Amino acid sequence: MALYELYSHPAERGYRAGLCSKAALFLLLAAALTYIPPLLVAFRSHGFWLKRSSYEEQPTVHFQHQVLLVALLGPERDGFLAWSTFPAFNRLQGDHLRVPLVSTREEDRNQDGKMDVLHFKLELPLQSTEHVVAVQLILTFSYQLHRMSTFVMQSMAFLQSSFAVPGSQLYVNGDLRLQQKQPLHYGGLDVRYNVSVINGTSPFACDYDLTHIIAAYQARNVTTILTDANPIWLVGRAAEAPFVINAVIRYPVEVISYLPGFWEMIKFAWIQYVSILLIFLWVFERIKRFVFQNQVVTTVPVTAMPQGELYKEHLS
Amino acid sequence: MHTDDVMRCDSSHPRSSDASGDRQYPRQSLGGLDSPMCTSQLALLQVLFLMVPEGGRPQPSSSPSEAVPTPLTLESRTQGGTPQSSEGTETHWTVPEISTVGPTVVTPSAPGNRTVDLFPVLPICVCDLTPGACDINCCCDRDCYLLHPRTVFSFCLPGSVRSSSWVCVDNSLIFRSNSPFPSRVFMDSNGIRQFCVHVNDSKLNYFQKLQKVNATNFQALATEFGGRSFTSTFQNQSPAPFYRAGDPILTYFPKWSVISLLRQPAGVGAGGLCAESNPAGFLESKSTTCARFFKNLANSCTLDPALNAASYYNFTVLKVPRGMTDLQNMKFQVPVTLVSQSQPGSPLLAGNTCQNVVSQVIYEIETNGTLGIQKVSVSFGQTNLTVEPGTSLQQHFIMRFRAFQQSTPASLTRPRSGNPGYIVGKPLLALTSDIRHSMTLLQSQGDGTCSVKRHEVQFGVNAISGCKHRLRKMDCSHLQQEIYQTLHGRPRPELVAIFGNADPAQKGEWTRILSRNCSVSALHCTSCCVIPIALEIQVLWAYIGLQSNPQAHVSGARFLYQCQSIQDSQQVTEISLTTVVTFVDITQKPEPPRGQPRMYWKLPFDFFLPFKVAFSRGVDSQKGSVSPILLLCLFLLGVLNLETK
Repeated sequence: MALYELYSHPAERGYRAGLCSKAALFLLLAAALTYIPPLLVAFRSHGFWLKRSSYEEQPTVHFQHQVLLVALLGPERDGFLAWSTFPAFNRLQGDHLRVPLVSTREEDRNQDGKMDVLHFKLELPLQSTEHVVAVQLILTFSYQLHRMSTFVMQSMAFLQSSFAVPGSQLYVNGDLRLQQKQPLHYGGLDVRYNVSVINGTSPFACDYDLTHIIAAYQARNVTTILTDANPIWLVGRAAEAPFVINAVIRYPVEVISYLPGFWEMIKFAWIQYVSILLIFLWVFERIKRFVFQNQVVTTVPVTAMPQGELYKEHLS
Repeated sequence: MHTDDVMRCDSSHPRSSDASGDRQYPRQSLGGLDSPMCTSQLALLQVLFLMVPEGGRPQPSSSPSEAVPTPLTLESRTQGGTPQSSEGTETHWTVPEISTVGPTVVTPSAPGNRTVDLFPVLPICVCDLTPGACDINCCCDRDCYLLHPRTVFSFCLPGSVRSSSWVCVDNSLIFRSNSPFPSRVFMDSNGIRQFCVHVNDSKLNYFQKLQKVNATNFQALATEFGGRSFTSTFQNQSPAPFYRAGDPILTYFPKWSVISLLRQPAGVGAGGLCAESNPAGFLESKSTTCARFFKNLANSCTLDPALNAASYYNFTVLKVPRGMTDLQNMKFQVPVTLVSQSQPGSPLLAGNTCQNVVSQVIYEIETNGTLGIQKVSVSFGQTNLTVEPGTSLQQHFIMRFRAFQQSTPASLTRPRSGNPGYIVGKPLLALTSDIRHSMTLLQSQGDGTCSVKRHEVQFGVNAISGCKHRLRKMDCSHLQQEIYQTLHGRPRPELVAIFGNADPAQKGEWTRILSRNCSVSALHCTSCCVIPIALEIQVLWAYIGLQSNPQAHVSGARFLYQCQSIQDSQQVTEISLTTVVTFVDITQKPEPPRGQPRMYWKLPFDFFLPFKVAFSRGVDSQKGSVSPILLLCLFLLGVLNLETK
């Protein structure tokens, strides 16, 4: 019967020398060259420390039922109508106040407990002489992220649209997207921007000025915007019909960038380091074996074989 | 003479004229092989080549830019293929090595020995478009009288020289050719030498299978081979025996003997203008609204048929489309009757107003299955318009279908808001002393004042509305009463339906609305009057029943008034009223099944993600799941092997 080598293991051999000998110096040098260069290689080839990472999450968005509407009328220069859910703002408007009919509905399409879409409809009653040519609308939302850091903010969707011809309806269908100028943290509670977009308690006109609202909002590092490049204007309003704003605002899944935590950084660095280290270990093992086997540095070889094995060899 | 014959047979390859000893051959020899001698020669040739030792002959080579046909090109003719030369640019043919193999054949055709420039005439010259004149670059045009068209023309138009089909491979792949078929080496446009074999299989070279087209198989062929193309939209169908849901309804104008469709004008396009000829669909009860604009109302007031009520009923309706075939038979026709006894007035221009303009048209159509339409009645809403530039009018068109001889007319059977659970967007039903109605909110007119029209509360839709209310001089209690009524509407809702199909007779299906008026006692001001300024309707609702088929029901509703005190001494003429409706979902969701992560959990529920993905994909497609697992197993085995070494 033919025999096959089914199993084998290397036999160890020791080399003895003094601690201050050339051999010891060589080993020290070899160890340094084995372990340090991989670190340098990994670091100098960039991306050693993971500085930014990203994850996916559908935010928990709720419409806060705060609305601020300014409808610009044409062709007069000073014509506008305004309304908001803030009493102070309405008080400031005087004759320009026109209370619309607003109906909203948030829908959870997949029944996962997170709202997916907001249906917003606003009917602004108009007189037959009034013609809407432009609209500015602010809707506010509470926006929360939970997966990494618990991020809570109050954000808004700003819609400004105009048309050369007096309109009867404005149709918007867009996404409420997250805009980050700065990555979020990997954990903890983040309530930096959990402040209302519009200060509804203020009696002063400047707090309801759109330029102020937008300026304060854009100063944030994390904001939401309404993305609909092309709102649709329908024209041809009958005398007694209201001006209608019809908006469908979706809350899509967002890719959120964040700063990785300590252990995540270490993990990715370790992966890179070890994979380069393996090559160096193999190469220097060969070098060391060559050096010691050929007595390039002077050592005393010791056969560290167990007695039994030697004995067996004799037998065979 | 042996060689001469060979040369003659290869008439498809015109020679360049640079070689000495040009010989022209008569035209008829170009057409094909007609001499028996030639064929015998060819047979001999074949035999010779087959006998070549080691089964091959060296591959012909030539200078680049020249193609080198082997002597066997003449085979093409014997096999019945078209006698052709290729592009015509390769007019040389040099076969230097052949002489070593088959001297009998090749010696005469040594390079430059004998090159023939043939007058390139084809039986059909496709580019000869102007008879009697020379077409440029048309090398086969006889009007040019050119023996060597290439000397005059920069190139020959495709089709003006003989063409043949070649199958090519890269020249470097071929060491030598032992093919009995004609072959050449071409230089293609990229400068790569291609070894080409002349395909002379007549089945491959010609479009042969002609299909006989006749009346019977025309349509079959057109559909089998045809793709998308422009089609005429006109369809002439024979009238259906009865209407199906959604079919347009046919009408007949006896006055002009014209068949038309029952129209339900609808707003169209960005302008929302009335599309006059929008047909009404059979059994499709719906309402449409559209706007009309008038440049000159004084003119169109009496002339525009859209404003005239008569134009909406001066025809008969065909009971079934089949009635089209027999228009004189009144059995198939139903007249449009008026609901009101008196005829609606036609538009009348009186001074600056256009009176009796149609603003609303309601058709009530009774149907009886496949027997079609049994009764059509129409009612109108009319209005007056002032004549001014840019007048506009909004018209409403309503179609109501109901079964013939139904006990209650459709106007009285109010539609359900769901069966049983409420459907989002349907009106919220309210009950006041056995009268069913829907809950409403304030609505403002164009100038911001309160309108008599009210907005229906839709289930599940939060809403806010408001208007300015003009205060009249009256005492406090009357004032309060009036404003309360303005806020909650008339009649005041007392009960709200738990389900969308609540029956007014069944009291158990309704729940009382909790209501709290303003407390007056808190104030210590004798001359004050506390009036409500806002009403908030709060509706708590929840899903019940199966999770896969949830039914929404109202658990409770509450009217919440907000009040303000005004002093009698103050001259307040106008107050703004607000109504708000809020729907609160109080559904208690059941625990998600085990293994499903909760929304706010941060637990590592995706720890076994790759395995989960692999196995769940296995459910969808069994093949896909095997490979990743197999790979994983192999990988693990490999790792174990490495470990044991």
